[in-house]
Amino acid sequence: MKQRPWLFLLPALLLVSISAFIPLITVMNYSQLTLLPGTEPYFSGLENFVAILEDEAFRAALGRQVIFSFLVLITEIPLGLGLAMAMPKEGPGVGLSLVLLGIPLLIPWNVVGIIWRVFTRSDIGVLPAAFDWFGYSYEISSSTFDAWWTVLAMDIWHWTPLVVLICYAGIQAIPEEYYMAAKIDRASPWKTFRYVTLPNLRGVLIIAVLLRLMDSFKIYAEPFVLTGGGPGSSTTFLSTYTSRMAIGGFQMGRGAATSLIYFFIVILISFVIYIVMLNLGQGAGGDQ
Amino acid sequence: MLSLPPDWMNWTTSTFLFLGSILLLLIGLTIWDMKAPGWARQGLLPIETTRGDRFFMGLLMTGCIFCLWLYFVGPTAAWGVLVLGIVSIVGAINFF
Amino acid sequence: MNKKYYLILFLVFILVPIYWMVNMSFKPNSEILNRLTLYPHEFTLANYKEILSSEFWRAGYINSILMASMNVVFVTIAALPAAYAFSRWDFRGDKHLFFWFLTNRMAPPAAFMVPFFILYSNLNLIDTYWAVALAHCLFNLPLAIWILEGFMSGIPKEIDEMAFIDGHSFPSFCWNIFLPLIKPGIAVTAFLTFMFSWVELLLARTLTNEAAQPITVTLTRSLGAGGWDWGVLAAAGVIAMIPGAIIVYLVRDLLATGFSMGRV
Repeated sequence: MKQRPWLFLLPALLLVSISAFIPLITVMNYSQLTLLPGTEPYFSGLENFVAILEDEAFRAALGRQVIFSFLVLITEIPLGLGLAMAMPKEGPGVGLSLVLLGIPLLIPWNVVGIIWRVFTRSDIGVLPAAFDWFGYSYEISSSTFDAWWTVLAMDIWHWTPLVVLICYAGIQAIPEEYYMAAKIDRASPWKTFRYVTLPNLRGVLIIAVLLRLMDSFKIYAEPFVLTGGGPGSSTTFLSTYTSRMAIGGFQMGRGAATSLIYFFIVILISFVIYIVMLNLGQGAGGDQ
Repeated sequence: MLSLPPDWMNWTTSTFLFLGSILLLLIGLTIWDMKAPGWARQGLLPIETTRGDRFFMGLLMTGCIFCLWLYFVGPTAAWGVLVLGIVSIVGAINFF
Repeated sequence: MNKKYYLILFLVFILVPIYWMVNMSFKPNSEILNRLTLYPHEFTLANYKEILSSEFWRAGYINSILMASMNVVFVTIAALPAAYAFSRWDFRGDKHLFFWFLTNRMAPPAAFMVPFFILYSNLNLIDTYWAVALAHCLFNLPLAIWILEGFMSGIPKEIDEMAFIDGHSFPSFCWNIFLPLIKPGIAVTAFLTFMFSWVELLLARTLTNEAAQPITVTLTRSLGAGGWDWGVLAAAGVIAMIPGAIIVYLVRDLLATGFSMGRV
């Protein structure tokens, strides 16, 4: 009787073991080996880790990744929340907005890259032409600044809809009486938001923030197609760096060591944010 | 496209020891919890944590120490990480 | 209600890049490269003809749909009981196990592609649907458990107890009472799982060659071979986009109502 939960977890554990656990152990093993094509692997201990940690390009990619994920979170979460609040609660507008919002989510990631590539390329895109008309010369292939904000805009375009969908669901679930009560108390819109909407969206927001954090840390296909990691390596994020190491660099051991450090950093950041968010709302939730 | 090593998992002794010791620690923690059930309490951190939470934080700290050690000290005397790791896990369980 | 305008502005922002690609897909290359036209002046379907005449694309569609569906089936079968266990019982280490499941969602596919390739090579699964469908469980299973657990926690435990007092056996309770209650949750989970499997590129590309390659891979491969032909590229993008748009249209009611059940 006591073991029943584990029986229920068995299928999930089995699936995780082949889809995650065995590969993870394999990565751990590789990270301590020197694997050169055509030669026997030999044990090189912590060499790979040291090499990665001392690699300027790795630290640069990591720094870029952290900044990028931070920017993604501070733009997409408030924007998504605001848009979810602006959504109509009923009527024909709901279906239409939901369909439009859902479209970017179901576009394959490399197609997202292609859409933005043809949109922003200086020879065929409309965006550079539009900027030109305003007197700003937009050069995605040579200006780091332009490349950066374009990748960010692409991510906002691509993923804010998910935040909207999740938040919209949460808002729908808040009982109308809460707002009535706020109205009777003559609470200002800001106070209503702060003490009614926000506390009730805590669970939903945790999901949105964590999902966006985890997924933005894994971003690969879109910037790869859009900018190819350039100009220079200014939009090379951790995933691009890792896959380059793993396949292109003929140093699978290095790739594996990078992966482990990468994975560890994501877990660390997610754990801290998870704990902070879980406890932050607790006090403010008050009425729950 | 990919160059493959001959074996697929390529077990190394250190991975085996690492995973084995994590497993032993988890088993130990389970037995400890059965003998003397822990409860959520507040320590140095401003949040309530259970013993398992604090153990996990200790592990994460060990990971950080490992990376910092490799970066500042290098692979020499890496057993120092082990000592610091044990200290941080024990410390986390007792004080966080 | 001026906050409506923000929404409209954002929807326009979503549509503009898509429109530009659709617009481009109907132009001949001479027009794309020489003039900037906001709608196709020399309307042509040649780009689409070039793509649809190839066998690869049809196969790519079917492969993609089968793979994503298989993934949904695996994930749902494994996630339902797991989520039930997490939502109904306290057991030793439950929170930590839950977080451990979640960490798999954080695992970067870039880190796992080599081990996956080797694992599935040894199991002789490379270039089959199984390989990709199983590999995508890496990031879909944690998500599914997470969402389903939320939905299930929203259903009071008393319902279970009442059913057992009424003499339902466990399977009968699941089938007749519990599953109908969380149907929207399952639908939302299936939608998200399908979505993340449908759009993923990196693992799908690593694990397939010819026979099983999904549409995303077909797209990169066929373009890599032929250089940059912008009109064809745009048409290919449009074609790869259509199934997603159809799916979104079909599940629009689910998006409105399903998400709002439970805690999400």
